[in-house]
Amino acid sequence: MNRLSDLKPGEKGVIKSIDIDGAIKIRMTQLGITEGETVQVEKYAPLGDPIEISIRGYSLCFRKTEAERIILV
Amino acid sequence: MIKSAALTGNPNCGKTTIFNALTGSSQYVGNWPGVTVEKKTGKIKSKNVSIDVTDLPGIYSINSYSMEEKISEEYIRNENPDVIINVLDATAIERSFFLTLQLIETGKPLIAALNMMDVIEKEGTIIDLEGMTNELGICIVPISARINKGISELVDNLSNFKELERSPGFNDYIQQINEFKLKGDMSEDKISSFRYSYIKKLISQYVILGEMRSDTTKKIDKVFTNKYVGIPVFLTIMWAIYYISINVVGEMSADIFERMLGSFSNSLGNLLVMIGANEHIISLIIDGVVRGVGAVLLFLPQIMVLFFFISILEDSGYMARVSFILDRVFRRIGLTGKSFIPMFVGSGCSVPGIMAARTLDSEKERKLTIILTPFVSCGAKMPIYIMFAAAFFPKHTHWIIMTMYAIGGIAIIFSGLLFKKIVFKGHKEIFLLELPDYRTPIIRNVMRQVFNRSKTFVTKAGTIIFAGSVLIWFLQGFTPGFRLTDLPSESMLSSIGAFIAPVFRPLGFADWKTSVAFLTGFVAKEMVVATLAVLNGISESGGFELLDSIRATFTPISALSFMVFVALASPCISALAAAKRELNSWKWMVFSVLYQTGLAYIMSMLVYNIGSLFLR
Ligand SMILES: Nc1nc2c(ncn2[C@@H]2O[C@H](COP(=O)(O)OP(=O)(O)O)[C@@H](O)[C@H]2O)c(=O)[nH]1
Repeated sequence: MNRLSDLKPGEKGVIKSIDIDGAIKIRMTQLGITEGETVQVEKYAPLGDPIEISIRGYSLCFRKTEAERIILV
Repeated sequence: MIKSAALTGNPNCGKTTIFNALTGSSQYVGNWPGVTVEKKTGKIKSKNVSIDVTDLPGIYSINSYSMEEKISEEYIRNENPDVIINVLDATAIERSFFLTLQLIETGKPLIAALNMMDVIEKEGTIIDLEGMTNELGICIVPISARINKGISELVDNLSNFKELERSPGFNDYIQQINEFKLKGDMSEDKISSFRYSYIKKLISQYVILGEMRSDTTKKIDKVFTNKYVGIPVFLTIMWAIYYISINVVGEMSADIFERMLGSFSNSLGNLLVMIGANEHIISLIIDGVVRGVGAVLLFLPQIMVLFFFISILEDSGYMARVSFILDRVFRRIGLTGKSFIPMFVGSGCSVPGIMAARTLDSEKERKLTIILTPFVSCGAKMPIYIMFAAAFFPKHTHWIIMTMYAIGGIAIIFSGLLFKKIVFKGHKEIFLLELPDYRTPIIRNVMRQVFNRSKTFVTKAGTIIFAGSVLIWFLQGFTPGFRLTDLPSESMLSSIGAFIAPVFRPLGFADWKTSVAFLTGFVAKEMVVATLAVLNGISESGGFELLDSIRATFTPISALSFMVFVALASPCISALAAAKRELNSWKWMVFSVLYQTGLAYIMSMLVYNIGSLFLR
């Protein structure tokens, strides 16, 4: 299984599913993190977490715990 | 004819810049009724239009999850503005359209302002605006707010506003989404995905993305969020801001201002004598008002420079990076990196800091941030530190001040850990944050921000502190039996002060004047300096010899203990009112005041007693 958190900075993937529930899942989809969309990992913060990704032409960051639950194709 | 408009868009889309360009100096900044989110209104005035514009909070969607979204949604529903001006960020066009679709779905008249055109033109991106307009049935005006391009076209389009026909394809979309909502069997995130799949189609049809995307932001971030230097750079920036505003500007302005104030108070005194004013009136004006208000205004230049830097950091996009860098640290105490923003704003004033906690995503983070933000010393506490540091540690003023911030920081960490273990067990925080591209701040925006924030400071000096200074002067001029007295020790004020003073004895300062200063500090922190100035001014002869009188009343250790108490104890009454509103509970508010003051008491007792062991 390929997870978003497995990618290194600069690597890309396509989202297969998002195994997160509740408010944060809804927020994420509103911001454009949806199935079938391409994401690229930009970098990790100096202390190793959170993660910065680019999606739909802009940058967004969230924690690794979320990135581990975003499954890639 | 359009009479009213509401301005809406994602955070960082350039809404403030557009609002400033549209309404110029006719702006009015207030609050939304019942809540403390900033509400800005203004008027568009040109040849043949006069439109009232209300600036809605920056939001990504209208689903009533956050207070900002609720405000926007309710405003659009209840106030029924004649038109909604939706600002889109052309550099994040897919995400921007999400809100646009939601707004169109509400069925309200809408006009779109596609901002940041200058940026995407450089990238080589081409957008078929006419095609899009025909598809969606909304007027789309290209704008570069930064260089004032497209603003007058936007105004023209507003004054000639008419609703357009939607294409059959878009009508189908609207019909489908309304069915989904009506049936109610489709989850929120499925509906969002559906919107995005429509946006994808729209973009592929009408937008050709350019290849020349600027990599400036990435280059800057190579340094600012670098694994090794990111954190040191952050600390250096913070240090530099405080060093420049407090030490450099402070030294330049203090001398000049003090001399100006001295000669102003002399000539005013002479003038009053000349017109034959009563001696008590003269004393009221010179010793009460000029001294009290003057002591506070003395710090205006430093606070303005501090506000200036805060605005620059806010506008440039660096603030989001700080949240990114510090999230890992804040997580330890049950918060997210986003809590840095309320706390940083709180270093200007706790009231907007507490208000800024609204942007946080969960109830627990919001509560905790509201309780902890007052531990960040606000601008009004600065004069107190500066004064005491200058009296006892003149060579190391900025280090002393940094130490006070550090003590606030320690209090935040300690309290966060405590609350995480006891009060908010098992909550999960949400951290989801856009990292906008870096942009050179627009001086006009920054200056307006500095002006608005300083205005509050000056207004306070002219009202609360004015009244407070008069009251203090009065209380120390009369005995408890309402007899005039020249001996401060006989006055009502000294009785009040002497009554409370024993409480502070374990902290090392049991002088009645200091106790009174604490009481007045509860009204506004600026009052602490004003009170000491008025009270000590009386016992000394002429001139502004505040520092000498402080040296006479305090020792270096009791001065430190005093500063620590000021740094941590209950915030002023306006901040308490804001906390009450935001926490929406008396219980939590009272709890937070008692907690803050209790912690302050213990900490400053420790400082005094441990300090006294080493320094005698
Ligand atoms: N290049 C460019 N930058 C802009 C434009 N409009 C706004 N900005 C910048 O974008 C940033 C965010 O703008 P602001 O008006 O504060 O956005 P708000 O958060 O939506 O109120 C600021 O640094 C502005 O200088 C524009 O048309 N072109």
